[in-house]
Amino acid sequence: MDVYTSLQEDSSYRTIELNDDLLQIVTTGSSPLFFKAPLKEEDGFAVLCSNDKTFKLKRKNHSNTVLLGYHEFTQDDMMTDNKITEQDVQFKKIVTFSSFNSDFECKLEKGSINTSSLPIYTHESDPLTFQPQSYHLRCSLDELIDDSPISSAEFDKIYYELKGSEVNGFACILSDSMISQCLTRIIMTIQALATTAGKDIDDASNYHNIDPRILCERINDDNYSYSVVKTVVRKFSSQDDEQNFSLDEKKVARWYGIEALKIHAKKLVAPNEFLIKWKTSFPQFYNVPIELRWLQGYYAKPLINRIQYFPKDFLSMDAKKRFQELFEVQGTWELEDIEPFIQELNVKKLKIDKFIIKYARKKTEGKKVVVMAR
Amino acid sequence: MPSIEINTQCIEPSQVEGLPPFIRLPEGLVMIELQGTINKPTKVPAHYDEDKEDFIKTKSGHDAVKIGKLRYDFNDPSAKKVELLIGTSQKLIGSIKKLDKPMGILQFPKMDNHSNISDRQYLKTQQVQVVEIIRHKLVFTNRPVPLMDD
Repeated sequence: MDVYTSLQEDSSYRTIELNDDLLQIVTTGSSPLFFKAPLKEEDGFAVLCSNDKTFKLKRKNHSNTVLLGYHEFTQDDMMTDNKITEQDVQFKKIVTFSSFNSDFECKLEKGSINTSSLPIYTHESDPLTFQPQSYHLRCSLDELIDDSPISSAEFDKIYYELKGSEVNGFACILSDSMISQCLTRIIMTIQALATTAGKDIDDASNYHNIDPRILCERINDDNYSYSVVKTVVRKFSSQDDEQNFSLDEKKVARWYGIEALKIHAKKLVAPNEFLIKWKTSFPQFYNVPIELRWLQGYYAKPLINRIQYFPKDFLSMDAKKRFQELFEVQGTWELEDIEPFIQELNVKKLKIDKFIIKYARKKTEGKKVVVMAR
Repeated sequence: MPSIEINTQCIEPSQVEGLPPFIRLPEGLVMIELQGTINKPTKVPAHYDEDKEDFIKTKSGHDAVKIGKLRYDFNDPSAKKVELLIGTSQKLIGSIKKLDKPMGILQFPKMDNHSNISDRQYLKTQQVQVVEIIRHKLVFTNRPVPLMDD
């Protein structure tokens, strides 16, 4: 069998290693696949996205030359009852037309959305004329999905969690005060709908099977468009089906708690006093249980029996520095209190105890584990 | 971050009983791995011996140069050994290797001078094609051995 190589190579071909997930998609067509690549290499990395998974593409170079060719068998050859003989094969040729010195390797990756350049939609913004500033990213929601290294199902899960929405055709982030006010309107509207339907206003089932479209119609306020209402509903809900959601009372309570910390715990405050302030920040007739530990990661205890608003957002991303900053505010931490502050830095997913002893001291006091500086 | 859809509808050629796994019908692609690179002419020389069939025209009308002759023991379909005779004086001894992970062959659309890869609308009209899935390749990673005259 003679082997030839084309003098003019076709550079439009590339090879990609198919892991089990990708092989299943390619052989069954169970999901569409998309390549997403930044225009400049320094802007990130290329990914391959299915409906619900994101794969990071890595170029794997090799020193050998890999040739891709075709052999000259045709459909007619196959029609002759597969009776291809050695002689048939010997008279056929292999012609290579492309060569490679690298393959694409795919690794399952958690998709991400960069929302740092998106405009912030606040109450001061006019929903009908809302425009991003020149330094903002100006794009629609579809364009943002297109531009993000993430599959559409993952985007759908993460975007609303990040307070993402779309106003006047532009992808944007809702401000915290906007979220709070919209959430309050949503809860009050659900209560009004329940009352109209003759249901008990305290019934927890009122907050199940919520359709954002119905809520939006009932709210009937340009500031709370369907897109804004949907963002808030989805941020605080679990999904029942394609259209309906259930408000998660712990998520709702936690949001009001964090907002209450910002207002009432700027200075030291007694936990019991704060719990009363937290409870009163809920909309009227909205009664759900609260626990201070739900706000771990947002407060510190600089003095015994006193708490203070202390969000992790402004702390260093360097583990050593972050531990220093934490111990400057509070000398001794209970393990469960410090954990939310350091979790994101444990990139190697070590056991939390093992991660902590790299930077701090840990000891057991009765039933509690406490962490302190070395 | 421009995106482009991948068309995964490819026909996986089938293997033929009694033939080695790198021969598949119809027109299955073949992957050959060689150590080093191939030095080939950029064009067909003005004068060459046509009887030797050193140069041919491919199906797509391009010129191709002969790099060798592939030999395989067809009496033993399970044989892994293959040989590539280079000219009349050297041969490469290689094997048929099953790939750890199947390899997808992708064909990217050819961009002309007017096409802009940052143009979303243009990219929506384009597709990357999964041409084929390859599960075996011919690997020649040893040094060539001299051929003795019969």
